[in-house]
Amino acid sequence: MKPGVHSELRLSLVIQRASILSISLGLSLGLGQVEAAESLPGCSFGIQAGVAIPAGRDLGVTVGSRLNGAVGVHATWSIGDHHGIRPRLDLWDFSQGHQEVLTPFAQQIETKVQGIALGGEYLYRPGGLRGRLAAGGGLYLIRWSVDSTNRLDGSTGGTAQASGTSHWTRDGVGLVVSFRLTPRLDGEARWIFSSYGYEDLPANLCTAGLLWRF
Amino acid sequence: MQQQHSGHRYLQALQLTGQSVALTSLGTILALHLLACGGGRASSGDHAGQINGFFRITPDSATVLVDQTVSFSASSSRGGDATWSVLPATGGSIDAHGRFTASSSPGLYQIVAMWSSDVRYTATALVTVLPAPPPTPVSLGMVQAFGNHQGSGTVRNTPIAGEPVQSQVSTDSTEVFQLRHGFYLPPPN
Repeated sequence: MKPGVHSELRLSLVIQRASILSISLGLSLGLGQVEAAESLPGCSFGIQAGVAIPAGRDLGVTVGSRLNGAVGVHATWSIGDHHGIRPRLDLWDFSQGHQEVLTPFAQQIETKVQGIALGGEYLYRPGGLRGRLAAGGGLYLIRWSVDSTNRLDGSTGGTAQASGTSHWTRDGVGLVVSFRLTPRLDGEARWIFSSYGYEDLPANLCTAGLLWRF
Repeated sequence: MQQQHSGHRYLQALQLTGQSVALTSLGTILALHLLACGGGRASSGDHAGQINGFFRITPDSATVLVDQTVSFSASSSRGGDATWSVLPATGGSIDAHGRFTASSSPGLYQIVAMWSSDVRYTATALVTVLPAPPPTPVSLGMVQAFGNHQGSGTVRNTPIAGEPVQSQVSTDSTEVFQLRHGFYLPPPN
């Protein structure tokens, strides 16, 4: 498959996923008017799991098109009726990416990206402690790791290959929408903006998942 | 009662101000980040097919005789070492510092460097390995020409009167040229 066609397919896949996410968000906002049966505790701890989807070209090229897992732990503190702080630790494990070109040289690059994000989110609950919907923003410190194998076929014959792992720690900001499904279970969607690599390339992603409180 | 009511209003106003400050700060940070992130670059050096961009080899081409050496260096604005290769491997060998030693096979070869800090970054250079020059007979006239004139023909890469000289062809219609050289001490045996 030509590299251009491959990129277009990947882009359309990302757009498709973003559309699904938008519809989910819309439904969540609509249902947000309904009040939950039980109000939130002052402080709680929990775990979360979901999917992470690259939302930019650079990260999109480097990670694979398959589903990427996201897991983590969090705590939630309610400050008054309408405000909350959520410190959290997330691990994003992206599927293996494959790039292949024929010009100027035949080259193949295999990559496996991981991100560990430590940060905190501010949540505003329009409906107070008994409301289902919360929205806000977050600040994160993200440790990106990329395992790479680069293979190049020379124009004069022969093959060169090298493998290695690179790490960068970058800041990130995010938008969060959270919806209480049950007293112990929240659904959430996030849009996170960060950068990675030695050229500080955009590394934006969407995450969607479930948060379970102990 | 009135005092209690005004106190409540004051607390409400304070709460609203706090919310506004928090939301404005978050919005500003987000906007700045969005501006900084941009929409992605068309050609990042860590993508396949992006050769000699952020990371490159100096010089990008070189010519050596068989069994001779030439040094390459690979660099980026962030420094770092490289993994070197000669393609095909029959062209010679290259060490961790980019010092290439040509084999005894003349030809065109490719030098490839992959950045150790991030192996996705690739740079290439070309090296031409020339065959060993045929031995040039040193004529009596050539020896006598030391410091003066040598008439006729072509001088190849070869020692003349003990001094290595570069290839030179006479452009004169009479095939006479002057070869300038300096004082040269031959290496000890």
